[in-house]
Amino acid sequence: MSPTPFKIEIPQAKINHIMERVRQFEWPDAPVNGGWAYGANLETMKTFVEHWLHGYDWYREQEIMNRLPHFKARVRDLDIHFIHLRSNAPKRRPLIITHGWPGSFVEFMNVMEPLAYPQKYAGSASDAFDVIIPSLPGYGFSGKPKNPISPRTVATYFDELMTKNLGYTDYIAQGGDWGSVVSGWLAYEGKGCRAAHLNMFGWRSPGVEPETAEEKKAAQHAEMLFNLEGGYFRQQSTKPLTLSYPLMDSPVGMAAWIIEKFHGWSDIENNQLLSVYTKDQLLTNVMIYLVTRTFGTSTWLYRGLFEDLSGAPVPPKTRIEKPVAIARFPKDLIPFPPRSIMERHVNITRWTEFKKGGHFAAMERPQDFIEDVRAFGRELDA
Amino acid sequence: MPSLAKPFHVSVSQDELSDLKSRLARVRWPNEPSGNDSWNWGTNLGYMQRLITYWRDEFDWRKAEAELNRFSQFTVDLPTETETHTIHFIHEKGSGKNPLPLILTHGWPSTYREFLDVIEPLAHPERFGGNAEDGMDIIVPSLLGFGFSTKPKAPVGPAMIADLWHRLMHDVLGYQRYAAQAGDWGSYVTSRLALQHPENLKAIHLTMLPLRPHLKHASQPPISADEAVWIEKMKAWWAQEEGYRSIQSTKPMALAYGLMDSPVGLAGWLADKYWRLGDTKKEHPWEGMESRFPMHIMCTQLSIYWFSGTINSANMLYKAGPAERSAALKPGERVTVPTAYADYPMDVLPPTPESWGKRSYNIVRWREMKAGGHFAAMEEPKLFADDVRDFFRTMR
Repeated sequence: MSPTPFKIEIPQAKINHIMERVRQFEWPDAPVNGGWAYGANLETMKTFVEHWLHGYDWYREQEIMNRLPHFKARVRDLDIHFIHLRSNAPKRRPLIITHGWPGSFVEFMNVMEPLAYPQKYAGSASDAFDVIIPSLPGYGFSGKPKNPISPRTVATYFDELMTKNLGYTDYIAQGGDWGSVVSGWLAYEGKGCRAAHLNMFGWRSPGVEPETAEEKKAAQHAEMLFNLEGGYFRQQSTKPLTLSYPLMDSPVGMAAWIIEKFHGWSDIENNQLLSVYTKDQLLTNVMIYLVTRTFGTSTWLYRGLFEDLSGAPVPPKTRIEKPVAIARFPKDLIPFPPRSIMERHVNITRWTEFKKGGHFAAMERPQDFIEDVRAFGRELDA
Repeated sequence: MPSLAKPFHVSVSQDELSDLKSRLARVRWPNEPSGNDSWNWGTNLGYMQRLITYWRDEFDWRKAEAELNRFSQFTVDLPTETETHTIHFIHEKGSGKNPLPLILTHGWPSTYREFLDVIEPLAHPERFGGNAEDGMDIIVPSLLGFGFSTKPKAPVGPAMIADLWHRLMHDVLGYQRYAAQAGDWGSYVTSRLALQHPENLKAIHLTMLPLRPHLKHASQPPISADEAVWIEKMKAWWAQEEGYRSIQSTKPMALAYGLMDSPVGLAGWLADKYWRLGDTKKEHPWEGMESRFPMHIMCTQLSIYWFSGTINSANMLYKAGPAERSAALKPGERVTVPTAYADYPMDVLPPTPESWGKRSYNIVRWREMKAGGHFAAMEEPKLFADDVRDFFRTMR
């Protein structure tokens, strides 16, 4: 089925309904001088809500998003929403960029056009990509699956989107967070995928264990981080629906749950979110979850990981053999382990360590992100 | 009449009631994965819609309020080095010439309502075909940060709450020696009470044994085969169930905004635990749940959390408890106060081996109960009251 153009058009009544709930929000008590140690910081949340009520304009944001070419395409049983920027370059170099949780296509607002039209951004036309940015199933404007599905299943939808709906047979998959897992699967078994560029340690080869002292130390560090930070994961991977009642009924509640992650996983200065993000950016990302009512289904991916076991088991220690670029940003929930162990998971052809940046690399360090993806594209074509 | 304590009545304003109803009316429901009759993905949507409709349209808070106010309630200010805590409690004087004082402590996600149906049978057994001389003075506090007790400025754990309980029983109410009963977080507080004030405790009765022995100490025998199996089963159980504990013990403020703003969210978050931890029949998404936890009782519990605005301060106990390390016994340390354990047949948590309980407690009585789960006093009030009365009769 050929894709149909799509515009974001949220009725005023829906926005009013959400804003009414924001206005009526009642603040919880927070431990005195607790900072962010107990979760989303109260003073910060108050400044966000203040802006949400008195500075933020959904329709201005909607208008900006609608300047981009959005589409929906039917893939099997689901409508997949995506942005599709076609470069005018003579050689088509398709690039599918997959977001994660709690993100959306909003993460890529500042990188998608430079990647598609480098000549407009002081770059070289030969670096241009055809850029495809889908919304994960159950996220944003994509359809909601009936039951939790796995990232591997998501990859089958995206590979079909790229090859059958859009006719790309040699695309590069880029992703962080769940996007890195989906992109890993695309590189592992996607029919049209030629390479992957990953900015999170997501896809893992079964049976690969830390061996050297350095690898073991990194694994211990990752486990420690996960114990401190993994509460959301444990809830979302076991009882996602139980969490959905409070968070879907309370816009500020959902905003706090999401913004806490942007605080925890980003390379911010002086503990200030605004050193890296604007309030509008973060609120628009939250609004995508609100206007589409997808918070609940977005968390299903964590359950789907464990219960949707479709696909042939990966033989132990099989690695992704297609070329993989690793973009290692220093601040992340799950930092990349040493290169020595990553070599056993994937076929690394490019390894870049950045000095600054975190989990949401495309938002935090857009120029680094753009240049690294371009360099990988050049290497692949060399 | 305790002199330091002030009388207290539950009284919610009409404005608060109207605000609750309007919030319940404008709910935004989540999608439910198909096939969630067994609550596999979390709180069942059909049950939730029935519960919220009942809470909004049929539940009579004024009647629930009157039931709570049937018993004499008080608050008392207890100053500490950092702040003054106000503790709310029921105090029902028992029948007989020499009623034994008994403090009953609830847990999470419960309130002092949990014990409402056992207060009279324990205080006045003669009204239920028993002997007035078995009567007890019954004290039922709201945990600090729960219900009508105050919210601490920073999280306070069970060991500190135990000291507040002792001050309540000993200094405020004037009981030199008393008894204590509890489950869930209440069992942490009660275990600490027995550890910290053994000379004042006649005996304790628990439905959960939270203390962890120091296994490397010479007094501890090696882990038995039964214990090893139980430990593995507990680990497997927690792997499926630990989400709420994990988030509440690390980032309670990430969750607080949603729970404090949404009574539906509060209901969804808590109902999950009643379904899983109660002795609920699980063949149908709500029939077993509603017969075990009648709607008006669920709504009373939820309303207490909602009107007092305490879900966040209650959740903070999961942060304060581990920080205090109050469940970890020191080498050789053990509860010396005589302890009864009643094992309610929850269908999810594997039963604790008696040998495990004896590592940390001076167990003098070990009972397998016929029915009931984690909220025993609500679920099986008669079984519960009879068992507690029988035990303490021997401990006077």
